[in-house]
Amino acid sequence: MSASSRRVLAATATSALLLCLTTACGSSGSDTSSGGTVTLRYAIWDAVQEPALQKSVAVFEKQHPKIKVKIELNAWAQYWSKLQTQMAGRTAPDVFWDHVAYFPQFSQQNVLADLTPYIKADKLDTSIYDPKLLTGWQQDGKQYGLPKDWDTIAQVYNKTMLEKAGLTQDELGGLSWNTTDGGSFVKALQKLTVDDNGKHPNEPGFDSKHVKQYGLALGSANGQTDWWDAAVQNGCKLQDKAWGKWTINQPSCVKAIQFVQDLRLKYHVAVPASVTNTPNGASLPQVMARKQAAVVWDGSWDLNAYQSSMKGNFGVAELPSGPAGKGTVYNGLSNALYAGSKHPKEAWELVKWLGSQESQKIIVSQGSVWPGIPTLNKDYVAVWQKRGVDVSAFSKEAEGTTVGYPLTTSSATYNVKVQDAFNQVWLGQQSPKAAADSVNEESNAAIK
Amino acid sequence: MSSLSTAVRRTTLYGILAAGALLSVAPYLLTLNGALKRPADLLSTDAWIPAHPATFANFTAVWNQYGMSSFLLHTLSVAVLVTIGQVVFSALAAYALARMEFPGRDWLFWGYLATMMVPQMITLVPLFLMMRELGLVDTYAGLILPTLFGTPYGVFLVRQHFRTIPHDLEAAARIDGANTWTILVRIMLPLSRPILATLAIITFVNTWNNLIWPLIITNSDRTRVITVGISALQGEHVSDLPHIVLAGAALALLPLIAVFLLFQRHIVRSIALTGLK
Repeated sequence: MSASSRRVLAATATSALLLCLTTACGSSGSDTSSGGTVTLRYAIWDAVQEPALQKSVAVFEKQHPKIKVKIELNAWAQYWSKLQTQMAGRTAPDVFWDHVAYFPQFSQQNVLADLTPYIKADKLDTSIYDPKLLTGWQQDGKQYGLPKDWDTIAQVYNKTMLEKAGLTQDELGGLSWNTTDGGSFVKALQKLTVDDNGKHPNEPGFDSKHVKQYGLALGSANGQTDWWDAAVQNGCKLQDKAWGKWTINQPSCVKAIQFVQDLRLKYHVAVPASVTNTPNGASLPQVMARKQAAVVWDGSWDLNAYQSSMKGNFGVAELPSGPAGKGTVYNGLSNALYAGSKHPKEAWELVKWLGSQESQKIIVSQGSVWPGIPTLNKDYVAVWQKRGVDVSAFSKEAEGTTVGYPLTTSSATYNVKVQDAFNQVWLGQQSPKAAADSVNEESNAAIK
Repeated sequence: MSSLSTAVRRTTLYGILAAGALLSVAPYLLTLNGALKRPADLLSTDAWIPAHPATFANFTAVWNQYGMSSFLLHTLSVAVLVTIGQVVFSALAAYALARMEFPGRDWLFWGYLATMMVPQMITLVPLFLMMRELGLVDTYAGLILPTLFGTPYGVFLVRQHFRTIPHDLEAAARIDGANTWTILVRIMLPLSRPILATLAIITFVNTWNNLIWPLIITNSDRTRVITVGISALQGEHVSDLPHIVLAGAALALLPLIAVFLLFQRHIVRSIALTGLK
C-alpha cells in the first residue's frame, strides 16, 4: 500500500467514525421497534423472583400484543453500577426495580419519570396500596414509582431449639427488653444460650469463651436488621424528617445501640461480632443452618434461604417490644419508569400492570416477597402455610409501629461510614456514642 | 551434622512450599467440593467438610435451568476471537515498534504503554458511550472490539521479546531476499512461539474472567457470558442459590484448566527464556 493511499484510507475511516459520533449512527441496540411492535427492557436483581415475573410478563404480553418485554437480570452487587453507567449513556432500561437507598439520588438526577400525569389520565386507583409505601416514592408531590413489594424484620427461630427451652412462638413474640436488666427478652435468650458444659449465661461457671449455642444472631450492613429496629422500639428517630437530617446520636438511639452491644458483650446471648460482622461474616441463614443460634432478626426477603436450609424446622415471631413499644423497619421496592425511555407510554402500561392486583397475585404465589397491595397479604400467608410456616408476624408488624428506610441523598456515604464504625461497636472497640456521633456528622455533611 | 542441617532446611523449604500450594489450590478444591454438596448441606456444614453424599444435581440444574450451556458457548467464542485478534495485532504492532524505523516511534510506544496505568474504571463510561454511538450495545462486536486489537500489555510483552532476537538474523534474511513480511512470518514469529503462547493464554484467561465490561455492554441472554451469568444468581443480601453459583463457578473453571494444560509447556519455556537473559 502506498503512502498516499494509506493516508486516504485513514482519513476515510476517521471521518466515518466522526460522522457516526455526530449523527448517532446505527440503532442503539435497544428499543427495537419493528412493525409497530415495541420491545421494553425491564431490569431486576433477584434471580429467585425471575420465574414469577416471567409468568406475569407473559400475561401482559398477551394483553398487549404490540409490546414485548425483555427481563434483564443482574445481581444487586452489579445492578447499580450497571444502571448508572446505562443512565450516563442514556440507554437505561425502560422499567426497573428501584430501592429506597438509591431513590433520592435518582430523583435528584431527573432520571425517574413522574407518574402523576399517567395516574391522573388513567384514573388509577392508588388507594389499593399502603399509603406508607406509596408516599415513600413521592417527592414534592410527584410519584416516582409504584409499590412492588414490602418487607419488615421479624424473629426467625429454630423450632427444635425453642421447644427444648420450653418457649412457644407467642411467648417469643411477646417479649420485651429494657436498658436496665434486659427484661424478659434477655431472660429468654439466656435460656436459649448454652455453653459446652450445658450452663446458661445467668448461671455461675458459664464459660463465655466456649458457647455451643447462642440465643440470638444479629447482622446487618446498615442497621436495617439489627439496631434500627431496636432504635424504633426505644423511640429513636433515625431522621428528623423524610429527606431531612440524620439524628442517630440522640440519647434514645445511643441507648438502643448500647443495648444491641450489650446482647453480645454484657449478656453473652448473641453470636460474637467476629462471626457475624458484615460483609465478610457468616450470613444469618448460614448461622441458623449451622445451629449456632436459636433466633435471628432477619427480613422477610430471606424466607426462601431458611426454607432451603432448614426445611420447615423454623418459625417466625414478632420482634420484642422495647421501652417505647413494638417497632420494625418497613421498606419496599418500586417499579420505576426511566425518564429517558423512548416508549414512555408502553413502559407506563408495564408499570401499571406490575402494580396491578392481577400481576401481584401471580408474584405472590411464588412466596418470595410480600405484595405491594396489602389486601393480597393473606394470599402470601397462605402460600407459606402450605409450606408449614406461619409468616404472619411480618404483616402484623407492618400494621403496627414502623419506621421507613431513611430517605436521604446521603445513603451512599452513610452506608460506607456505618459499616466500619458499627462493626467496631459490636466488637467492643468503639463506644456507641462515639460511633453514632461520627456517622451522624459525616452523613449529614454528605446531604446534597 | 551437615546432613542433619540439610534435612532441616529441606523440611522447612518443603513445608513452606506445601503451605503455598495449599493456599493457592484450596479455593478451587473448596469450590468443587461445595458444588457437589446438597443445597441443605451447603450452608449447614463447614466448607472443608467433604461433600457426602455427593450429588451432581447442582451441575445438571445449572446446565439445564439456568442457561449456563449457552453462556459457556458465548464466552468461548468471545475469548477465542479476542485471543486470535490480540496475538495477530500485538505481533504486528510489536514488530513495528521493535524494529521498524519511523519518526516518533518510541514516543508512540511509551505513550501507548502509559495507557496501561489508567484504571479500567476511568475509561468504562466513555468506552460505553462510544459503543452506544456505534450501535454496538448488546452485540458481540461490542463485547469483542475494545480488546480485539491488542492491549498495551500484549504489545509490550511481544516487543520486548522481539528485541532480544539478534539483528544479524534479519540482516541475513534480507541478503537472501526476504521482505519485511517474510522476516516477520518466517523468522520472528517462529522464534517467539513461547511468548505468543503466553500472550494467548493470558488473553484467553483475562477475557474469560472479565466481568465488568460484559456486564455493562450486554443486556440479554443472547450475548450473556458466563461471569455475568454466575454473578446474576447472587441475591441482594444472601444468595438463595449458593449451590447453583458454586456449580456454575466450577463449570466455568474447566475450560481454563484445559487451556492451561494445552499451553503449559510453552509457558514454562517462556519463563525459562526470560531467566536466561
